[in-house]
Amino acid sequence: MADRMGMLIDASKCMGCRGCQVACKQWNDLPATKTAFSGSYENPPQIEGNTWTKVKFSEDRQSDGTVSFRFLKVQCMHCTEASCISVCASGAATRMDNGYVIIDQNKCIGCRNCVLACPYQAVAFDPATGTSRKCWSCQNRLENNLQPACVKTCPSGALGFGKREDMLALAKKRAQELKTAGKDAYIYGEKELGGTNIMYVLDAPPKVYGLPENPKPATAGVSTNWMGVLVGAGIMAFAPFKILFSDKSTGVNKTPEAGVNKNA
Amino acid sequence: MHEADWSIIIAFYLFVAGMGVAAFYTGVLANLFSNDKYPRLAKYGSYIGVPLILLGVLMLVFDLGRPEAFWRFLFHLNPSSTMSVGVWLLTAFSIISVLNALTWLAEDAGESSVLAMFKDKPGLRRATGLTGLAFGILTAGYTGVLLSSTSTVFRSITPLMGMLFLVSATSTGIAVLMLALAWRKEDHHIIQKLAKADAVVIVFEVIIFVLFLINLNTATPEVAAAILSGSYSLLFWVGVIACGLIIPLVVELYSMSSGKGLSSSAAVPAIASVLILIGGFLLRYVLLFAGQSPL
Ligand code: SF4
Ligand code: SF4
Repeated sequence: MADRMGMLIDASKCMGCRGCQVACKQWNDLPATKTAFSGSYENPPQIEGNTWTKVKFSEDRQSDGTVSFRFLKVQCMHCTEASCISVCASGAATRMDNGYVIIDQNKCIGCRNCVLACPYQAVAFDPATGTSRKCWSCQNRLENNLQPACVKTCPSGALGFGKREDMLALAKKRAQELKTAGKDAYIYGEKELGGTNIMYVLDAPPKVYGLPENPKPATAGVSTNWMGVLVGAGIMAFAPFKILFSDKSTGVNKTPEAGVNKNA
Repeated sequence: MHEADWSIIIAFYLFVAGMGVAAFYTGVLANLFSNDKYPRLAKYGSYIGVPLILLGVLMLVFDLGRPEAFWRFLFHLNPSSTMSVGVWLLTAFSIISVLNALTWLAEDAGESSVLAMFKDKPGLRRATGLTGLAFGILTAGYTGVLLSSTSTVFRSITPLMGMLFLVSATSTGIAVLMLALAWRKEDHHIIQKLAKADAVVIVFEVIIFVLFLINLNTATPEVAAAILSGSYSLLFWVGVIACGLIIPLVVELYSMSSGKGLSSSAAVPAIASVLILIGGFLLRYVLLFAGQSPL
């Protein structure tokens, strides 16, 4: 198995220029979308079938009344416990040897299960192709020993790319630097969902940046839910049907019905 | 605004599929426990269930981004995907229920029909009835498990969603059976029995619903608030709770306890049934859309 690669996004260095957003569109041949002003320079408002990465703007109102802007590049996190893979019924969403999660466009039938299941809203349906699409971490660049297009473009040094373990070490070092400088520091993606290939260094709690604090994979409750179905089936078959309809004698048996009426 | 990724078609699909399988299995259950006293219920359930489930499958297929590629569903099994498991359940149920319906049709079609090969096959009817019962119950539950495992909002409120959808589907299945019986002017006593069964089912549903909402309120208070007092509250209280649960329950209890005069009118259970169907659809609608609200 190839080395597991990863990306580090240092939110404390991001200045919100959206170079990554444009570079992604260019490299992956994604058309622009026409959007309307939504009250914020954040644009488009969410990840789309043809917008695989974007910079999310969050306003963080401080206790003294000032507002600080937080910028966060978002895209598929390439989770270890990837919800998209576990819900995909056609086998289109898969993990590659190098740890990245991709959606095979020939196999995807556009059922959008993955779109609903992704804890990061990082995959979206593209009406133009009839399929769900998302960041594939520029596999065709990686194969040629190039960095993903977004990393290559970033002018502020907020994006780093390399072996995941190296990126994690870098994240820890950066967090330490921030703390030494008297700032808050958080690392996101080290443990979440089994560890994601994309990791963040944040200078405010993940919640402020709109990241889920405790993401759950889609497999979390499936078996208990099925147990619930069986229990429900058992109770129902027994109470209404067995009691009401069982007629061992001929004619209508009154007694059991009376019992049910009391319960009801 | 972000368009919902799962549209109203999916709400219809969850509703129609649940109602269809439940009409089938409630008919089979009633007949089974009564020692073949109500074959009529099994027959009606089969006649109603088959077209509904096929309609449901069609809706599912046409809502895909690439309907022409739906066959990929059938060439792949991903046990961790509720959708994948569900597609297989649906397929199995469709085949079984069609065979079951054919055994009834052959009887109704009379002599010299093309269906002669399905005539007088009590063994086949029983076997398909029983397996259809099992697959039907699992399919009804699947509609809920699907939503709870897929929607990030509902992931935390296990294990109640599958149970809720199963019980609600059962209520809609009984309702559509009652409607059919009332329409065909069948024996009123059978309708009364179904109404009683339905009243019990509704009581279960109310209990599960309360627990469900308590869980939801703990896990994602924003979504619980949207349902209980926010943008979905009107549909929820008037549609789901009043139309779907409380009014039919009161009507059913009342017609049970009242004297012959009112209770022998087919209109009363028919009204209750229509309300149950409306409420059943709205339940799925509200949960489907609330389940897609961004957190
Ligand atoms: S972020 Fe979403 S799309 Fe990406 S791997 Fe995780 S679940 Fe799949
Ligand atoms: S939309 Fe495509 S990738 Fe997503 S779950 Fe459905 S088939 Fe799989």
